[in-house]
Amino acid sequence: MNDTTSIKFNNDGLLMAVGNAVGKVNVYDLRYPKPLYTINHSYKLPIKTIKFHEISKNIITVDKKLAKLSNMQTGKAFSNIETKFEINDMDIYPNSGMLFFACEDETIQNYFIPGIGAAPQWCHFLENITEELEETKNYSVYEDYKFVTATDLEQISATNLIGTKFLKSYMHGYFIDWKLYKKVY
Amino acid sequence: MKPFETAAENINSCSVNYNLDILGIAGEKGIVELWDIKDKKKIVGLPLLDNTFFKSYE
Repeated sequence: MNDTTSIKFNNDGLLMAVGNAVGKVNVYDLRYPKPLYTINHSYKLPIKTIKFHEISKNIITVDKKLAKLSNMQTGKAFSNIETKFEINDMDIYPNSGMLFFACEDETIQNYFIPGIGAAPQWCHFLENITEELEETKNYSVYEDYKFVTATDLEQISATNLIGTKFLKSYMHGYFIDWKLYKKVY
Repeated sequence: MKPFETAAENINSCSVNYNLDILGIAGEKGIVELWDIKDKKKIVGLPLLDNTFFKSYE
């Protein structure tokens, strides 16, 4: 089970990544005899392909279930991608954050990760979508409320509000409308 | 074109190092070999990928 299944050099030729049949990828610096670090895939499946994403300094290691992005120098995990279908191969659009996955399906799965690179010119609209997603703020239900405990209520002399519609019981305390809290505080 | 005579029974993957003119091959039983592309000479062969065995290689 120690079969090596994938090998890849980075662009400057000093790093060599070798993946094996049990989901381990050893990354070597050719000037040093021991591996710099080892990337472990939790599913322990054979490594299908390895790519170096030079602009973000990440290494992308792929087994049939997931692609793992790790820092090229340290091996620290950056992100994981799990596709709907089993992966056969993966490639990167040059100088971008776009990845293509060839899977056990008729369609090519494409993923855009803004954290590792920009969108290619031919699909620059992805940048706009990303910006819109960043700007969209998710308001939580209790955004305009403050959490107070019974002790807090005693301190602001608002224990008479317990049981009324102005306090919503939650865990070991209550939610009180922020404006009301400021008024009684 | 003369083929590279590797020690691996089956080669699963290969990669070219353009900067250093090296060909890396990965095969069965953990064999990893680096070959000089121009001279077709084996530079080094790593016996086993597993870290625990790597000490004996040194």
